[in-house]
Amino acid sequence: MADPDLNLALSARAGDADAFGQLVERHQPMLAAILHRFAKSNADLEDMVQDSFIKTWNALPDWEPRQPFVHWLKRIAVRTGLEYCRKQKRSPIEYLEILPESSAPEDQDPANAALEEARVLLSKLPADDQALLTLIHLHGMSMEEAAGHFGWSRAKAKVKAFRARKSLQKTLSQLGYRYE
Amino acid sequence: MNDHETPSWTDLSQRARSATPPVIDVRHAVLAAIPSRRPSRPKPNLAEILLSSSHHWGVRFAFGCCVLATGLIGYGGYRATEDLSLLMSFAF
Repeated sequence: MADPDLNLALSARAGDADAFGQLVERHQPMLAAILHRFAKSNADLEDMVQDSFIKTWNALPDWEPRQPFVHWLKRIAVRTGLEYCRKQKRSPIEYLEILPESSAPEDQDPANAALEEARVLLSKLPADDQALLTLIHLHGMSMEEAAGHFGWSRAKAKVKAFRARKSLQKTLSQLGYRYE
Repeated sequence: MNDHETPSWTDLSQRARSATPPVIDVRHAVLAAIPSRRPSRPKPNLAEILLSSSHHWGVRFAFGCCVLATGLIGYGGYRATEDLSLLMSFAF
């Protein structure tokens, strides 16, 4: 199937910022849907989406038109999410984070409240585990898809996911959750 | 789920999946952050070409052969010099 972004991406690669603007408009909801699972706040989400597009623009000369533009864009977004997780680990603010059970406002959307709770639980894990399980458990990606976005082999992703799940299981039992 | 039940991760992650992302618009911010025209990419020089192709097994093999050949030539030269100096010691 022909890549629907091909012409715009080729124009953008040649330096056409307007064409790139159209790609941004077209794909920003998709990037927001992925990175929303990682972000602590809307401001962080906007920063991550913006950062992903700027990285994409800068890397456009290396883009191979043989691979669909959207796959490449997703890969950059996932890597931005991983970097965000790593950065959060280095931040001392992370230690002050508490489970939202007591702090979540009553009128918050239940799905968003669940996402926030799940995100805080995953943030207790090492950054790579957090990013991988965010994609698999909170975004619903398959292992193959997640591995492809990280640039890992299927075997490596399988090993990492196994270890990450073990680690999550331990964390959940400490915090009084059931892992099934 | 009632309050006395232990919360389940599976249930939580399933509910989290249906969370809807906020509507954002970063187009203007992105366009403001990138130059309107990308500078043309400079042509790669020889070092760049060699570095970029260094992952290819053929290039690695050729490099290995070069190192081996250099070593053999060096060793041969060293032995030849040694023989020559031995010969010279007999001659003079």
